[in-house]
Amino acid sequence: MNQYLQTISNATGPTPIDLWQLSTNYILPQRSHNASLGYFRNFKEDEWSTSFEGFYRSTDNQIEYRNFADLFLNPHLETELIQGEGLAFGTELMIQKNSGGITGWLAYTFSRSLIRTTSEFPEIQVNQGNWFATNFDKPHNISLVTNFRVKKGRTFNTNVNFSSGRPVTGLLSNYVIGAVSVPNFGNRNEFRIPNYFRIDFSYLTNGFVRKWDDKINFSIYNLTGRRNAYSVFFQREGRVPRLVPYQISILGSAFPSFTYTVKF
Amino acid sequence: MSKNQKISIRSVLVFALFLALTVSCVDRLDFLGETKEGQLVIYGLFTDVDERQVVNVSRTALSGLAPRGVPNAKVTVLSTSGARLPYTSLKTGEYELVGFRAIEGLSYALEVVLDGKVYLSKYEKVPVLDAEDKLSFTFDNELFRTDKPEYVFKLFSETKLPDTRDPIYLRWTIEETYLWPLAWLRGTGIPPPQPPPCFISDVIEPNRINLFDGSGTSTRNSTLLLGRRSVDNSFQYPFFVTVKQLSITREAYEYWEKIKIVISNQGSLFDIPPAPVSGNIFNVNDSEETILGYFEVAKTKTTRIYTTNADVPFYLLDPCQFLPSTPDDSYPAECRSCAARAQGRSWTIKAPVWWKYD
Repeated sequence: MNQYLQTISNATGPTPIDLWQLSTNYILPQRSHNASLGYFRNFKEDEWSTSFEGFYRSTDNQIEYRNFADLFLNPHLETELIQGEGLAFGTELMIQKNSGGITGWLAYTFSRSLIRTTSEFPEIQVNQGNWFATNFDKPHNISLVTNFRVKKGRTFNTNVNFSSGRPVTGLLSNYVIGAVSVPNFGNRNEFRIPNYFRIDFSYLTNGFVRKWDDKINFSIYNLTGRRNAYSVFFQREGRVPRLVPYQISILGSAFPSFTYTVKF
Repeated sequence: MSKNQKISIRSVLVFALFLALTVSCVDRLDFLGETKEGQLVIYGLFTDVDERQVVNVSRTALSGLAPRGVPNAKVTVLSTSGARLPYTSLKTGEYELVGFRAIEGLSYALEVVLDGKVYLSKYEKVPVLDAEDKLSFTFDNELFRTDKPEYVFKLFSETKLPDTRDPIYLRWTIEETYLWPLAWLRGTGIPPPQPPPCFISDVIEPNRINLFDGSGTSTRNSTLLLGRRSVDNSFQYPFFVTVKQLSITREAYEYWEKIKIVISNQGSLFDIPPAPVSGNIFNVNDSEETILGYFEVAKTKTTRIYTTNADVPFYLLDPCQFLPSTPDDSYPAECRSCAARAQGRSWTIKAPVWWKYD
């Protein structure tokens, strides 16, 4: 499979950016070989569905930015990029309940997404040409969705999500060269931001007017108010300024909402 | 409501309460900062000027700001002429070489032997070209350290490159030295003898890296802002700025350019993705070991400029002015001790040889 449009992700700022890059004379199209295998089976007259799948993908000409690349509004982006080979593999297990008072599903995915740069010039290799995790590498992902039907038209719903934190480049130490305090960064994507965990809750019931098809929905997004890291960045702090890591959380508290719907 | 429905609602509520109580907020990212200590840091500058040549050997520490000096290394500078010049340890991680300087046209490397391991830098050739710096300064009222405008001393250099197409790479270091007279204290004699003044030195904007790439440009004259400093009572008496222009190699320029990138990131959309900065020093027996720092040679040119309180656009109050009615212990500590005034900066009571002004 060939792909002629690729993304370059810079996830080190407070607002991570994705740049889209077309294939050119200098940026070869990404080429991948995919394989997947799955087993699906239903039980108890389709009340329960289960599936088990695995996939494997190897990629050539996958792009990464070089160390110290200036990506923002750069008209000659190809000079800041390096191509390499990618590897992605994983398995997914899913159990779904389709009928009864309680319905929903539980899914678990283990997957990896790795890359290594290949260049004849060792000085521009990222992480010395070793395999490292891409920005999309989140090995563990668990999703639990449950619907409790209390009575006709009244349901409690919960949604639980967990995933491994995505890789990020972190700080190993600070040191001094001459009079300059220098942050010593580790290899690219050597660290991970904190794991993502979120619980949502909602209650759906019939409305006030019996003749109308109206519904009332009360929900709480991020019930536990966990401050999941959306992005991680570094800022200088202190009299002798040194870099300190920060995280930005979007909706880092419980977020209630109330919805009234009428269908005419 | 049926019994089954009650059980369902209760189950849901218990489930929600359990989840709410068992998960706590996450707010710290300490694991992304300073996770590895003990990496070797070697930095040396070898110039063509008859001055104290210094090499610093240290290890990174988790506390970050004060790397641990390594005093027990054997440091030698090697020359392509075959000379080996050993440095003397000052027991703080600093090593000095006195009475030697780089010679134009020769290449030099640094050898550090530590715990049986040999660390060697690549050879760097002393550049031949340098530029002419003409210094000037202004006092401007503008935003600097806070959200409110303040008076800022700004140092400029009008730099003239040589009339040649050969590449030239420049870096500047800026150091201030100002005079600070101590208060005349009655308890020291009748009449009280005048205490010797302090000469206090510090780097201006240590995290500002002034670089200039003179290769591939036809421009021969450039005006560069070299440093800024807030105006305080340090300007009460003569205030000197020493500008050292270092003509460096392309490799050293590229190293400092990377350092400039990693220290300039401010957590904005325009930040360049951070990466480890590798220098030109490596372990002879283990190429996998990462050595931080750089050994650079430079052709050096020093220029100075000074200012007095007559240039400062507002009145400066002298906190150490002698007043007969003021008890000795009422003067602030900075009026009684050079060390108290210096607050960790370097100081001396001996005037530098170049301390001359009108």
